[in-house]
Amino acid sequence: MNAQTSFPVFVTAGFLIWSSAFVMLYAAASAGCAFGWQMEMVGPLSLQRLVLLGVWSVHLAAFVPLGLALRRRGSPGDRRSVFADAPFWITGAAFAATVFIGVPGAVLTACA
Amino acid sequence: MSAPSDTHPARTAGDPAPPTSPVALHKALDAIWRTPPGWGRLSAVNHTVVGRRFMLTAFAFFTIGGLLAMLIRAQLATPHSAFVGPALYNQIFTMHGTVMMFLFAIPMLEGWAMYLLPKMLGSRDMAFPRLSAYGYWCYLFGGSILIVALAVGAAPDAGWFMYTPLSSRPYSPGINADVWLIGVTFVEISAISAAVEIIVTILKLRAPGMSLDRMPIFAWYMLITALMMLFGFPPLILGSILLELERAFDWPFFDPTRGGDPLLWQHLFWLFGHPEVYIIFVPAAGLVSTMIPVLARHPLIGYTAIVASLVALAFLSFGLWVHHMFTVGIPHMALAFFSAASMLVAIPTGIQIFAWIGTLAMGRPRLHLPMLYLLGFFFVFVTGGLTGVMVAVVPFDWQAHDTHFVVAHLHYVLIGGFVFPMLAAAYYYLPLVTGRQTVYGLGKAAFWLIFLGMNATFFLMHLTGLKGMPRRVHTYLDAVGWTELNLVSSIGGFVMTMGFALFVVDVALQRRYGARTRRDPWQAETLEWAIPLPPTSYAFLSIPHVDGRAPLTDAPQLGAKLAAGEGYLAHARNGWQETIAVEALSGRPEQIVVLPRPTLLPLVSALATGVFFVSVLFKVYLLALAGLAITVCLLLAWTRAGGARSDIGPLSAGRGLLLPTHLEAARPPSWWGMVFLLLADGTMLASLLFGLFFLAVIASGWPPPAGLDGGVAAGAALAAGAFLAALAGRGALARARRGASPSLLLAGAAAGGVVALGGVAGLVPALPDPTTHAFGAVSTALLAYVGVHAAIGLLLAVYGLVRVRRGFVSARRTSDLSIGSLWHDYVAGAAAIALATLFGLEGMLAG
Amino acid sequence: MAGAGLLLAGCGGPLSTLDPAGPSAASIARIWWVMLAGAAVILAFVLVLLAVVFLSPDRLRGVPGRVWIVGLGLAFPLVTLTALVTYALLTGERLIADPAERDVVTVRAVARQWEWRFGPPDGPLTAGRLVIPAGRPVHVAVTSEDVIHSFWVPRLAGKMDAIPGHVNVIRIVAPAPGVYHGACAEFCGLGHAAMPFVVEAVDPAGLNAAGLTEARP
Repeated sequence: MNAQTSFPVFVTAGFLIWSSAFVMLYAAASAGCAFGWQMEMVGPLSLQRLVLLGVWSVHLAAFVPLGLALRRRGSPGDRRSVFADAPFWITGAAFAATVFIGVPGAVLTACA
Repeated sequence: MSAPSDTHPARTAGDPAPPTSPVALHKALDAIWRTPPGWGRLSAVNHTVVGRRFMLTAFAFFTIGGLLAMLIRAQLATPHSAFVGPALYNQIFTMHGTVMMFLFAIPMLEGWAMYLLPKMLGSRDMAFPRLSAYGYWCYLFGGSILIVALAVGAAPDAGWFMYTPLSSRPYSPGINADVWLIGVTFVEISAISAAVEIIVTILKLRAPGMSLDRMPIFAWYMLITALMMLFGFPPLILGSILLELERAFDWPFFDPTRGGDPLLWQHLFWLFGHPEVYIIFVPAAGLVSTMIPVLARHPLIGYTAIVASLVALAFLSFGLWVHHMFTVGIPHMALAFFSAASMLVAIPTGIQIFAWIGTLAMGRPRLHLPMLYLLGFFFVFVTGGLTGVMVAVVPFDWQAHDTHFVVAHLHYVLIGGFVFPMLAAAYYYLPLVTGRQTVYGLGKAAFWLIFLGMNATFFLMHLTGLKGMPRRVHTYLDAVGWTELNLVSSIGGFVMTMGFALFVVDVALQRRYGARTRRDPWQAETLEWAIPLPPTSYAFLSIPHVDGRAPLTDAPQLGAKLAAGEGYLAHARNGWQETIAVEALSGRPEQIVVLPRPTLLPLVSALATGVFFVSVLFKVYLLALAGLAITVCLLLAWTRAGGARSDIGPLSAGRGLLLPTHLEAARPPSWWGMVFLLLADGTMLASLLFGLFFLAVIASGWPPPAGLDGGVAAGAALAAGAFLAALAGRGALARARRGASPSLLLAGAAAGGVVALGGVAGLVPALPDPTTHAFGAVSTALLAYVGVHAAIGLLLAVYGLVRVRRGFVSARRTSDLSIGSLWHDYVAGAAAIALATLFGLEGMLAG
Repeated sequence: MAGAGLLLAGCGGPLSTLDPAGPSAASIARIWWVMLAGAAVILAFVLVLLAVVFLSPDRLRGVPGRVWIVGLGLAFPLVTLTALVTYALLTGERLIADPAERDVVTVRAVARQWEWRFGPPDGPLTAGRLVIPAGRPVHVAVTSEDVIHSFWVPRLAGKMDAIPGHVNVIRIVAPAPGVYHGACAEFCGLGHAAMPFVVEAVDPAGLNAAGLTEARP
């Protein structure tokens, strides 16, 4: 795929990861409180916290292959092209947003 | 949905007639494209006409909404007001919100998009002109239901947000709530159809050479908006259907005593409701991004950054919905996700604000009237954005929520983010619409009245809210200290209204008495100014080739050249309405699209749809079924005018270019239309599944008393039938493309549909009763969803057979089959998901 | 602007969030004043930029696009908003009703069209008046018998919706004895404007007289 035909993929992939992270964090937070995961301790952490951290880190990890693919795709000659630049901006923004969104799950009180 | 065409294959010819003079060509094209006069106006499908109708109708509804606002301000001007009682007041504020959101803002932006997009993209019309018209009539009729209800005193009165259980039957026994559900859903048909149409138009109907990254920035804004509509509206439509089912048939989706939950409604409503705010703002921002570079005489800075921030905004705006629900008792951590996302969504907006200011700073801005309104926009919208950040702060929202602080905030956002840009755009585009020069005197006075009145109404209202005045109260005591603040707000409201009245007078005068303007009065960048003013029915006499983002700046004489017939399609052939479709990304020319001529079918179809909705409203279900059947038949009849019984082959598009017609293209616009329609459809299914899981986890009264009672064989039949139909549909398409007869496989697809429907029928008795517990209600709704889709699949398979027999399908002309195959695939997927959910959940609940 | 003067002068009132009488409402009011100051500075900055653009156009012409887009558009809000959301969430953590909190009094609030009734967790309900001990944290378990209402005592804390089928807990503290006014904040039909109630904080000695029971030891 060249810079153009792969554009729809790369322009959405980052935020699709973000969307998945967001939905799963919210779902895990709600389901965890409904089923009492915050009470069950696994080592120093509650099961609730463990699941949230797991969801978060899996999604952060998903940016690694995406970033590599983006690098392989490279940047075609035309510097002013949306096709060339927008995927980089968007993927970066999506990664930052995924970092941002997970922090509350790591630190805040789970079920009150 | 059918191929948008109206062809007369008998008269096809390889090459158009020899070139004639531009004037003769103008006459010939106008004869083909123009909307007939008199009663023929009802048959209009042209984007200029329908777009203008959308905008004028939306403004009429805006007037009604504004008058309702005046009644609200009259009531609240003094404490202990005896102007109206609570019953009437509840109708007034409910209708004010409903009218402004559903009957003004959304249709207004659809109108702008329809009016401007083809002209900006270098196309002669939208992709599905009859769908535009159908959407318009649905909007007009649905809106009329609401207004008639208001006139007879039966308007909705449970708030524009219709929270259950207040809107459920025990607490709203009258027809009022049904009016909202039916009227708004009717109107939403136009939103979904407009969304599909806008997306396909932007992706396909552009001038040759206009790759995605050469599109005018407004097209990017509208593409993103329309995609958001595609995913934002289905949750609301689903929620409305479920609530109407609860009200009419006692299916307890939202009843906490029977496994339902009132919060499910809030989730579905705000899943729509928050993106909605951006759906309203983004197109207006697109107009700002279009006007600022022209008024600043400098290209927009950060085109790519803006595109990127729009993509980010589109996604982020779907992660905010719970910030309308910070006080419903959701745990703090879950709220924090939404608070964080609400902060993030401010950043793409910040990027745009500073890109605009930077563009102004680098250019030599002119303080014309549109610029004055844009300055008003900056002040009002930035203020609204800042208070928006405040209410996204969880603890602060615990205080501010449901107070007049939020009323003030949302009016800053919506008037700042929508109305001011609309007014700026109205003055900017007035020369385009009317062909007359704009005179500024009255417009300036109107600006100051609107701007000062708006701030007088809403600035101090922030304080009213912080001093504890809840929303939606019809009266208050003098002792609480809100009296003076409310009086100031009311006076401001009336000043603002005078401003709008002056605006109407001004526009009417300009239209009537303005001097003729020359082409492109603004020295603008984009193609909408390369056409004659006011626009001709066919927009472009010939279609340009685009080499950059600012075709008109690059070639100021482009308009004259196009009018002299130096572009593509400079001919009148076969009485066809021709325009060019391109490959979506590169802008390489791909097809000649032959668009449908004016027809009464959209109006008649919308009337039949209206019969359905009004019958549901009055609970005459037999008539409703008849209305539905007639609507479906009429929609299928749209295709009678389309198609060809013989292959035409590539035709000349002018300038040495040979292109196939859309009938012989592998993926005509209608195929893309079906793809995007299915995305919306899938969102509806996803919303229903969300509802099921939400209830299972959150609602009390789960697990349900009764689960599935057998039904495995019927479920297997449904799965097998749907799978068979999908397989046969694909096979039929493949055979047709090879030139072999697809009839047998189409019959197979139909048989698969019958088996699937048999499976659905067999599953019905296995499901728990829909009225005793929400599980029964949701699973029945899920099965009904699959059943309706399987039935449509059957219809499409039979329709494909008929089209094959009549000779409309050949190796080149396969769109009837490819669209059907898409549908069969979707039904198979939906059936699989529904069955897996039903039986999987059954297993979990039992185990 | 004239608003600013009025704003400072007229913050009082029986339902005013800007005249806090308890720690929750006070910390939220503090957030408000911080945000108001920040918002005023940002708005002024944007307006000054626009004024300079039109009044002294050459002054900003040399500022490169990167500064506008990345500096002002991206970095500036990102930093500001991160700081704000951190401050807000940490404040929120201190306001929520933690079920593990000790030395807390639990009461229930039951809404219906169109009145509020209050009482101990298992005891009888009385209409329109909630009695709590002054100086001690109180967890109010809020629910509804019909439609959705919202429990709101602006001078003490934020609001909490009363939803049928749900029991939501809100934490309020009234440091000093006194009467604090409350209202229904969620639209609930014809009588929405007529659902006032009072929270009466009494000296803890009067607690038993009010018939309240101790919560978890």
